[in-house]
Order: sequence, then C-alpha cells, then structure tokens
Amino acid sequence: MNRKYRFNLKQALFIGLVAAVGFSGCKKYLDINQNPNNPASVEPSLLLPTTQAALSQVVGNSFQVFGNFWAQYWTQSPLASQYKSMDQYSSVGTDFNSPWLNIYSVALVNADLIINNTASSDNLKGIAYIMKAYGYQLATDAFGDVPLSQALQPTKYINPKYDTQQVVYDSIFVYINKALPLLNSTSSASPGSQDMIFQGDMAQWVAFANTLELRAYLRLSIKDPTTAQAGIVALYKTNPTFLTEDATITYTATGGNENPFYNESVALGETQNVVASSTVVDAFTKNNDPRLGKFFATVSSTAPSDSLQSIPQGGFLIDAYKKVAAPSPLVGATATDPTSATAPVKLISAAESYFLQAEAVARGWGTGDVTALYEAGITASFTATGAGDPTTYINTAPDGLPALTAAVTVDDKVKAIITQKYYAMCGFQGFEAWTEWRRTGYPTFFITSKASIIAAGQMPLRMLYPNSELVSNSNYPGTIPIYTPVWWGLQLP
Amino acid sequence: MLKNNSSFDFLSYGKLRSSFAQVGSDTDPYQLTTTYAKTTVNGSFGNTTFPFGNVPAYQIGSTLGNSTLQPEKTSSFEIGTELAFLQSRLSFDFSYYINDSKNQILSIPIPNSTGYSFSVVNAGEIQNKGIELTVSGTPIKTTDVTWNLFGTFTKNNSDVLSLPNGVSQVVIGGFGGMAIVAAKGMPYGEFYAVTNQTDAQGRTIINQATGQPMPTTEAKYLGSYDPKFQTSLGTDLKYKNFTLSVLFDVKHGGVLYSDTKSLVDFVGTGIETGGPRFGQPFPNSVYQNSSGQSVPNTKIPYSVYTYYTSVIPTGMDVIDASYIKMRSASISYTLTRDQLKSLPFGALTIGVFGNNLFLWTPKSNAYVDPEVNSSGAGNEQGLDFAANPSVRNYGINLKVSF
Repeated sequence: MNRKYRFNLKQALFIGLVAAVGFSGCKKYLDINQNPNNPASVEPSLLLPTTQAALSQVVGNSFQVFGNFWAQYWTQSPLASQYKSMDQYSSVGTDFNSPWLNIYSVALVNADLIINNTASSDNLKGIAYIMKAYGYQLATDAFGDVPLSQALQPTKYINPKYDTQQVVYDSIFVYINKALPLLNSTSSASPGSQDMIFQGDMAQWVAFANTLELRAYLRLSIKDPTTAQAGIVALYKTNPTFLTEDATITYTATGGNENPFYNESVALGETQNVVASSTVVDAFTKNNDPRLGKFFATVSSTAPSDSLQSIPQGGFLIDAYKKVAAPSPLVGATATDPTSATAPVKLISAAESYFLQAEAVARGWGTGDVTALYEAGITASFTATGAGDPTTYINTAPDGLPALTAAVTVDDKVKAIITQKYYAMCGFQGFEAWTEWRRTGYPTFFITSKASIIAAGQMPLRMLYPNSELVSNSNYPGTIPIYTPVWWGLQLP
Repeated sequence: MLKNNSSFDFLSYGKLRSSFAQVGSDTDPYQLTTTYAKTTVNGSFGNTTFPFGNVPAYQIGSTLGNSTLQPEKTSSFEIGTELAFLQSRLSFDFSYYINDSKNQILSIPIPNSTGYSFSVVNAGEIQNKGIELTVSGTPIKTTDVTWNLFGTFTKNNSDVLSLPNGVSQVVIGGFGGMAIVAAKGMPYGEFYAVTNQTDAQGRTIINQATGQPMPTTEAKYLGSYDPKFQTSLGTDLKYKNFTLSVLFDVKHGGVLYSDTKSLVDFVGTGIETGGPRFGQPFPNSVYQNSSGQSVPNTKIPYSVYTYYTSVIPTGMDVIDASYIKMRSASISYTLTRDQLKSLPFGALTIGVFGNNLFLWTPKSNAYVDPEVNSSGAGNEQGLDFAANPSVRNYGINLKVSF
C-alpha cells in the first residue's frame, strides 16, 4: 500500500499546541538549580516568629542560667554538675557559641531580612527594628564590643569587625527611632498571630519601644550621664506610653513549644541542676517577703516541717549532700515538674517597666511620682507571682517603702529601686538583674562564689566571646577576661 | 637496546613511568543559592520548634550559597621508576608526585556575626607533593637460609598555596574548642585553638593571684596532623623449615588532638595529675612582673584539681603523634614432605603470631595509639575522641592442605 502524507490542519494545530504547552513549561521544569525542597524566598511575616523565638531562647535559657547564677538567685545543686563552671567563674568561649549563634545567625539575620524586604508591611518592619535593637542590646550587654556596622553582610564582610559598645548603643537608639513611625503606621497590615509577643497589638509595641529606649538610656546613666539624661528628657517630651504588662511568649506543654529552660532540662534527663542560693533567700527572709515561697519550692521531709533550704552561692562542695530547694515551676526551673513548661520568658516585665520609670524620675530626668511608680513595681511583681496583697510588705519590709522614704540622695533612691527590681526579677530575668548589678552595684549583698577559681575579689562582669568567632573571624579582638567590666559597667560593682 | 649489552648485566629489570592526569569534580546540588527552611531554634541541648501552636515560621538557611561556584579540578603528575638488580636480589620502586587541587569545594564555617554559619567556597589551591620509595633485598640466599629485607619510605608535604579573596585561612573541621584550619603558607590541617600562654623560653605564664596558667587571648597554630615522614621496615628469615617475620612501622612528626588525655586529666587519672597535688607551683612556670618581665615562679601554688577540671585549655590536649610500632611478628615451622609421609596432608605449617605487639610513643603521649582517627576519612584527621584502644592480638595458627 502506498500512502502519501497529507498536510492536515487539525494535526498541525494539535502539534503546535503540544509544543506551546510543553516547551514553555520546560524552561522552569528543567531549572535544576532551583531547590525543590527549600524555598528561595518566603513571606516576610514568616520570619518574625523566628527572630522572637530565638531571642526568647537566649534570654530564657542560656542567659537565664548564667544570669540567675551570677545574680545569685540560683546556684549549682550539690547533687548534679551541669552548671558548675558558672559558679566557678571558669566559663570558656565554647559556652557562648550557642547564644551568640542564636542572636546573630537566627534572630538578627532574619530581622534584617524582614527590614530589607520591600514586601514587609510597616508594622512588621517596625517590630523587626525593635527586635534588632533588643538583640543588639542583649549582645553588647553580655559581650561588650560586638560586630554591628559590618555584621550580617556576608558578601561584603566575611570577617565583621567589632564596634565599640558606645557605637552599638548609638545604633540601638537609631533602630528604635526608625521603628516608632513604622509601629505607629495605621495604614499597615498587622502581622496578627505571626507576632508571638503581642499578637499584632501595635499600641503594646510602641510601649515596648519606649520602655526599651528608657532601659537603654538608663544603662548609660553612670558612664555617660549626659547622653542618658538628654535621651530620657527627649523621650518624656513625646508623652511616651510604657509597658504595663509583661512582654513574653506564651509557652505551652507541647514538645518543642515549652519554656526553653524547662525544655533544656528535659533534654538533660530532668536532672534538677539549679537550686536556691542563700544570697537571695536570706535577703527575702530578712524582709519576710511572701514571694520567696513563690519563686522557690519547699523541700519536704526536713524536720520538723517542710522548709526552704538554700546553700551559699557556689557551695556545692561544702554542702555536698544537702537537700536544697529548687526554683519553682513558676520560673520554669523545676526539672521534674511538667508545669514548668508554661513558664513565661520575660523580655521586659511590667514590674521592670515601673522600676525603670521610677529610676528616671528619681534621677530627675523623667516626670512622675517616684513613690507611686515604686509601689506599682512591687505590686506588679506580687501580681506576677501570685503572692497576694503587697500592702503589708510595702509598708513594713526594710527593703520596701521604708528604704525609699529614708533615701535622701539620688543614689540612695536608686539603690532602693534597683534592689526592689532585683527581687522582682528573681528567676524571671536573671540576666537583666545581673546586668543592672554590673551597672549600679546594687544590690550590695552579693558574695564571691564559694567555688570561684579566679582571683579573690573578682566577679564575672561580662561573658566571653564565643570560640566560634575566635577561630573563624580574622577581626577577632582577643579574649577579654570574665572579670573585666564592659564599657558602661562599674569597675567593682 | 640494553638487553644485549653485557655492561648492563647487573640490571635484571628496569622501568621508567610517568603519568599526568586532570580530573574535575563537582558537589551536591543546590549550593548556589541560600534558601529558607522551617525554623528550629536550638539551645545547647533542647530546642524551640515550629509550628509553634499554629504559628508557622521559616528562617534563612545557615549555609550561605555561592552563585559563582566553580567545579574543583585536581591535576596530578607522577614520575617513577622500578629497578631490579643482581638477579632481582635487590629492587627499588621510587616515585615522586605533585597533586594540585584547585578550587576545592568546601563548606567552611564562617563567623556567626555574618548572620550565617557556613559558606560554600572554592578554597583556593592546595598542593601535595612527596616521594614514595620501596626497597627490598635478599642479602642471603642459600639452600638452608633465606633472609629478606624490605622497607618503605613516604614523605608528603601539603601546602596551602592560595585561598579565596581576602581570606587568610579557612576552618576545615574540628569541634567546639578546637578547629582544624587550612591557613595560607602552612600545611593543610593545622590545629588552631587556645592554649596556655608561654614566654619566649617556653615557660608557662601564670596568673600571680591564682597560680593558674593563663590562656592565650587568641587561638594559636599548634601543628599539623601531617607527619614529616612515614617508614616501615620488615624482614623474613627462613632457616630450613623455620620462618621468622617481623614488621615495624614508624611515623615521625605530626600532632593529634586527644580527647582521651582531656578525659583522664578531668577525672584525675592522667599521670600528670598525680604526684603532690597541693601547695606546688605549676611546673616550669613564670609570672610577669609589672614591667612585663618573666620571673620564675617557685612559690605561688596552683590547685591541680582546678587546673585539670576547669582551667586547662583544649590546646594543651594536642600531643605529638609520632610512634614506632611493631606491627606484626610471627614464627612458623613447615613440615617437610618426608615428615608428612604418614599423614594425609599435602602441607602443614604451624606457628605463633602477634599483631600490634609493641608501641613506642614520645613522652608527651601516654594516652592513645596515634593511629586512631575518630572522624573517618576526610579533611578532619588526627582527632581522638576517646577512641577505643587499638587491639593487640596473638595466637597460634595451623595451616594444612590436602
């Protein structure tokens, strides 16, 4: 049979259609450099929880333990050994690899990606700027001089240089001031539930920004009072709102969503590593403070009745077999109690906000009633701990209102305020309490850890640069010993 | 040509060889861009994972992509000769090689302050050159006695010739407190870590207040795992029906990081943690007076317990990796045909043998067999993560055939 091929319009159209569909799809389909598993870009609001959770992980876990040890709320249990080096003041660079990584390579880098993304809404950018300011303050308060101007730009600076703490603080104020108009923008889409801290409540974020600015300026109050005063006076001229509730992430009992320190304790086999330090227990007892029983759990079976046992800071070898009270689940630190899972991590607390304002007023830089703010701080702490009515405590405890009333000089007033702030931060905000002690020298009843291996009289006044920077950054400035204060800190608190 | 020339009779075999090869290789896919992944925030032991309740989250990947990545290329050149003399009683095998690896693709750790943890780079040019020599000979060969000797000698020099723009070194491995780096102008695989401060005369500088050695404020280069040379020497001696064989291995130079040392120090079972533990000054130590001069320390004591549990930096666990090892020894007896006549065997050999019988290490290494390597083949070498001790075995063997 002899068949001749004949041109068929239908066939031609069909072939054309196949070609058009098939080949146009090819280019994309054949792009083998596109990773099919991991996206090359994401909706910027998806990055916000990363930044917030990373900062909360640092404040609520690594810095939480260091801070609570060095603020002498907690000490190493004689029956375990995980955190001995903190009481020995023998920490090394590798101990700080993880928090440094979480601050820079998780929190700050993703905050920067939100800020630099044109698709980010104003509100989202504003929150990212605030988180960036918070993260840099956390980093510089811990480590002193840190990379900032050359940080987070790997294609330009593979070895970021370290900026002085003063420059870092200048930038913190710049970030906060960039954030405020963005947070106030009403035309912007709210990040809603992607904001793990305030669920997109912008009024709260404005208050957070103001409180953070106040905290940052007060940090300079002793080293650079001129800048601190100017900054705070200018802040008060804007009629600022300050936080009246805690800025926290609400943790849950779900695995991986628990309070970070509790989650860490579970990973460490639920060993109770941290116990009550006599430094804070004695101070609470002296003031007959009902919060003591809230911050710590009593030890059972100690005759004649259950009691709250503590050991001196670093006394794990001296009281080697003593049964000591553990911090309570309220602060997330009872390793064997699953209710520790829901303890909050306080980035800034309501009580702290009032005490910051009280200090600003006491120094004459802010406006308000110092006594009312002081009482509001104590009341907020009592509310947060469920310690009942604070009236009796405020009026009768030696470190309560009598301490403020008796204060004549500004410094005495500041001493009363910081000491009360110290009580409020027990177990909740160890890092901030240790940091304020480094700035002001208050409270005055710290002891040198019994386990200290550094020279007599020396105390930890900074964290060490991480080993990861030491080996990989050619601009590494050299290790600075743990007993050397940061720029704003006192030589001998 | 030489075959028929009687003046070359002493040469029973001769060969000259040379080769040149160039191979390229690539890497895993998707290294060109930085991508996002579902967020996990790691603590030291725990972590925060997403979705958090019903909040989803993504984070930028920790490895920085590199859109200008080039394939790596290795060129190798080798020239060698095999020679046998005096009816093959003496023979040599010698080769010289140069391997040049250009654009080696490495995922290197970068400072976290860049916002990332790793960067995929073409790591410049690394050159390996060296010689390999094998000599074997039979000094005695009679009807009753045969004595064979053989030895090898290898020497490899690795050199980091260049690194990517503006980079003076890259970290190619290691762990927490100890990095292994490729630094320009240095052998590949230098250990790089904090160690004790020493003065110009190598004496340890201590803190006057505590008596404890002070750590360096920067990481120091502590030597490469590459040995200066390796050699082995073996011999067989046959006398009538007896055969004796011995093999020695020698490695000279190179260092290793020993976690075993770190652990025995920590628990106080290491030899250096013994002796008088109280009231002693740190051995061979000095302190620096106000004008920065070293003053020998004879009085200020240090706590041995504190030093070995808390103070000692990882750099102090880098030790000399040299060794001499008796790899194997055996003695055997082979029955003759006559002796086997009444037995149903074709051949029968009985002997005793031992492997890994003796190990001599320098004084600084009282801890491990330097041959251990806890990280397998790859860039990371010379790491002992408390590895199991190497096994010495010995026994009797009986070989029969029918």
